[in-house]
Formats: sequence, C-alpha cells, structure tokens
Amino acid sequence: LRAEFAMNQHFETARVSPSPYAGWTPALAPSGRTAPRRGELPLQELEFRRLRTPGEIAEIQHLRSEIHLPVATLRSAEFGTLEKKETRKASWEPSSGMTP
Amino acid sequence: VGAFEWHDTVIGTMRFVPMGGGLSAMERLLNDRPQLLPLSPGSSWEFGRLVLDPEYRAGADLLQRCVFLAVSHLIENFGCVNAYASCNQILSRLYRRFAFSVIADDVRVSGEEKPYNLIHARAADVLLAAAVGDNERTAASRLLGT
Repeated sequence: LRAEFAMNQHFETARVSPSPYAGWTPALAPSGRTAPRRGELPLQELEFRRLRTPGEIAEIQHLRSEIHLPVATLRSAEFGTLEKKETRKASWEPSSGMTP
Repeated sequence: VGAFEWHDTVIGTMRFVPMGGGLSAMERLLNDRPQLLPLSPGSSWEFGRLVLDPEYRAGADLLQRCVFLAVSHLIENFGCVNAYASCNQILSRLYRRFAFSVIADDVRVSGEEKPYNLIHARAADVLLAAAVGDNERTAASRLLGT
C-alpha cells in the first residue's frame, strides 16, 4: 500500500481531484500535432530513442529539475565527474569483473 | 540517455550506465559488497534517472510502457542481462512489480534519514514484467528468444 501511495504521488495520477491540470491547454507538438491531454497519451505510439548529440541532450535539460537526487549527491565534489560520463571503452577504468 | 517520445514530443527520459568500467556509482557500492558481484553472468547496467514530464504523468500504465520500451532497447542493442539501481525504500517496493528485488538495504546516504536500497533484476524478467498485452508479450518473447 505504501508503494502504491508513493507511486501515485510520484507519478501524479489523473485521479487527483480537483485536477491541477483542469485548465491545461494541450501544447502543439513540434510535428504540428496537438499533444494529447494528460492521461490520454496513446501508449502504443510511444517510442524510445537514444540521445546521441549534445543538441539532443540540451533539448531534455528541462527535465533535470524533475529528478530528485539526494542532497549529498548534488553537493558531492564528484558530482560533475559522475554526471558527465565518458562512455567510450577506451576511457574505462579497470573495475569489477562485470562486463558491459 | 534515451527519450520516451510521442512523435516529436519528449515525454520523459531514462539513463543507463554500463557497469564494469568504473563509470557507474553503483559499482562503488557493489565493490563494498563483493558477495553481490555479479549476481549472474553477463552484461550489467545501472538503471536510473527515470523521469516523466509532469504534463504527461498519468499513472502506472505510462510508467510500465516506458520501462518496456527502454529495457527492450537495452536488451536488443546492448545485450543487457543484469539491471541494478539504487533508490529509497519506498521506490524499491514500487520496482518490485518490475521484478527487482532488494539486495542491500543499508546504504547510508549523507543527509538522508533512511538508508537507500540497492536493487537488482535480470533484464529479461524486467521486460516480461513490464510487457502488457499480446503484442508486447510476443515482442518480449521474440527478443529473449523464448
């Protein structure tokens, strides 16, 4: 039950009443389509796309504020290093026995 | 990092970090617990930073679809076998529904009152748990060769 409650809070289900989005006007998606209303996304039309370029990453920066990291993580001196990862194999450190 | 998209509209994002190269924070945590490393042979990835745009958050179905898409991509393109993540206790209960189990519950995080959990699942189990309907189950079976 606690998990269910947390999930409802975490993902803000449409069961909230009164809806904080009652007056929300659907945005116009870049393609020219009218974005569906909250809770009416056609799930089968969703896709997952790997972001590869700095420009693509920049386009999703606004979502960073929605990620609630532990305070200690944000204040860590290593935060920048851990967040800005270099994923070319040549840069990997010798580490555990696990292989990617 | 990958984006969940409806046509050209970004709905949310999720990050996956390959383990074994010292890139993931998870590795440091697991290196302190060698008995957990690795839980099963094959490639291991850290899952995290799952975020959905507040304008589109609409309950468990959307989350489930996003997990299915992301894990499908990871298995298909990178042969992911093991999935690891760190999260608070409440979210670790949430992720049970995607086949994750708690492998450590004593991770102290400075500034946080309660310890964090480390969770693990076989990627195949996550995919099957996230699959909804015949189409997704068929796609999962095809991807897993079952």
